[in-house]
Amino acid sequence: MTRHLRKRRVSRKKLANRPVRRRRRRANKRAVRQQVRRQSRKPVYRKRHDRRERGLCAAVHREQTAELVIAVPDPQFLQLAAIAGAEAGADIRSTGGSIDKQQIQQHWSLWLQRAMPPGIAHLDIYTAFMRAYIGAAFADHAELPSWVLLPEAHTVSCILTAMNEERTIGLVLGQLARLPLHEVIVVVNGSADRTRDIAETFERVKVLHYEEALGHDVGRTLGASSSSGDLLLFMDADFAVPGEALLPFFLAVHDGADIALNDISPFVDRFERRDEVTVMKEFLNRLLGRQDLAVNSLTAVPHLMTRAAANSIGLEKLAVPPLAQVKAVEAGLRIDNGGQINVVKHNRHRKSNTGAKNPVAEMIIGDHMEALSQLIREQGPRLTFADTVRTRHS
Amino acid sequence: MKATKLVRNANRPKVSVIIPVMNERRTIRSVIAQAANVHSQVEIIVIANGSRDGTARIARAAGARVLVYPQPLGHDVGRTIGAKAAKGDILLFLDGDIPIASANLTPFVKAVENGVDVALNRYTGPVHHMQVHSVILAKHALNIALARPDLKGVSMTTIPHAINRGALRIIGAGALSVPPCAHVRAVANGLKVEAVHHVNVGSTNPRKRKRIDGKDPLEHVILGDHAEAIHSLLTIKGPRANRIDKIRRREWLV
Repeated sequence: MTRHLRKRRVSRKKLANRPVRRRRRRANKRAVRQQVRRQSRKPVYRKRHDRRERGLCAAVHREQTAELVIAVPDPQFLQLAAIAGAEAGADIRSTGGSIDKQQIQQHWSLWLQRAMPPGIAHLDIYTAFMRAYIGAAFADHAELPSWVLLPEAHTVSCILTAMNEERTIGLVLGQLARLPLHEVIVVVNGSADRTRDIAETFERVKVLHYEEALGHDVGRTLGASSSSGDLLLFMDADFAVPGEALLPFFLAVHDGADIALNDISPFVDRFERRDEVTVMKEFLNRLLGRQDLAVNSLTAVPHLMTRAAANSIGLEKLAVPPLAQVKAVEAGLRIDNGGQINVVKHNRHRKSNTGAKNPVAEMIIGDHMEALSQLIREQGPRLTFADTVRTRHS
Repeated sequence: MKATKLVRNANRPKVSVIIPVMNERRTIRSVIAQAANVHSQVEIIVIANGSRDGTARIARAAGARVLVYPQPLGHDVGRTIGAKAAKGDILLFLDGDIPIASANLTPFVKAVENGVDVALNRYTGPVHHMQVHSVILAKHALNIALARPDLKGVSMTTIPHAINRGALRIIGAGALSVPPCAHVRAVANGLKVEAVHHVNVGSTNPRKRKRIDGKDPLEHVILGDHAEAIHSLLTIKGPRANRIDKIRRREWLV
């Protein structure tokens, strides 16, 4: 190799690294990339925010969006709430003894009905009024009770099913004790631990005890049939829901809903990553003409329903939730989304409910088939979707 | 138009290609041209129904067997008619409006030759959204109901797909008009149903369905088809589709 050529090669290398060339090369690459992007029709989203806007990934959780919505209670009514609260406190004390939840609930719902403060359908505003009210009623106390008052003075029965939940039952009942409930019915079944003993230490708790395991959701029927409240709140004993988080369910019923479901749509993933049960839930809603309910169903707890709704569904159907869902839609009940409680994250993992072909998933898919067969029996094989286009040839 | 024959139908064909068409004069020639290359012994059956634009004439000129129905038969009914007329051992189903390269068709024929009873397109449409179209949802749910979640949204609704004569006998030509029903019959009767090849028919589908009040009228027909399919599944396998419910003590409910 001659000296000349070697020299030239070196200079070429140097040339390649000159800023102008480098810039031009990058520009070329960028142009090609853009061209390829234009050809493939899929838009390229750079930011997660952008993808979220277009519904390509999970929605923002409620806790995060809550900051974006500015909800301020009317200060004038806030003052009125405080005055009413103080009056209620004085009133109750004058009849003797200390203030209890049920009494103050009576006064509170009466005040709501009369004063009609604006915006109480909004959780934050409702909570602000409620806090002002309780704060004033207990103005001369060192400690405020952490009570959660409800928008209406319905008697509420909470139905909890529990199987070996000694670790969580206390926490669950502790949260429920903050609400002025009429009763809590704990259906303890197949439990070898202290679930029953712990439950019995709480006030207004009625324990239904069964030696054998009843199986999924059978406890809901048994609990509902021995309850006496106007509203039925169905829950599980496996994780504690903060008392405030239950308020949206009551607000939905206050707004006229017969059934308030748990809205789990913010917690599910994109369609391709969803599990089989979630797909079946959405399919059933779609066939029922309730696309708006998305993946929400009576299968998930918590949910709240009126006694009239429970009766028109049929208490025995509550044990097979998808069947109850079909019955509720057929009965023309108003089904709304209530609160948003992440049961997807909190569900206790057991051997039986994890893995691809777990028995619980199989059972719930079977429940959906049962619900569909009921629907088909009543509405015919094509349900409400007539075949308007075909000339059939056998 | 030059009437050059693209295909010579075999007397004893191995593969029958079934192409229902309505008004598809723009694409039918290239669909036939590609389909002609899937096998050496092939027959191409075009079911022209409700065509007013000369599709049938173009298809005949290209060498296909053309069955003409003056009235529109409706969605997928052409598949039934084509299947009844077919003489081949393997039936390949296509659409008249989506030209697919023969290289993308042979995998389906090959799979059936190698023992698959129903060879399906692996394409499942856009599933990376939070909200999917009812049809996509229904296809996924049907496969879950059939205990074939591995098929995801793969279904006999989507072309191209190929079946063998044995599968046709079990499914029945009539059921092919309602593809989800055919799908159920195939899977529930233990046929070997597999997703064999991916052909993106979503982005190449030029058909824009007319929307009435912002709703896709076919969406409801296809949802109804899936309800009908669930009905036939429940008829075969019982009200819970063979999913036992031993753990639930129902005796307590009465």
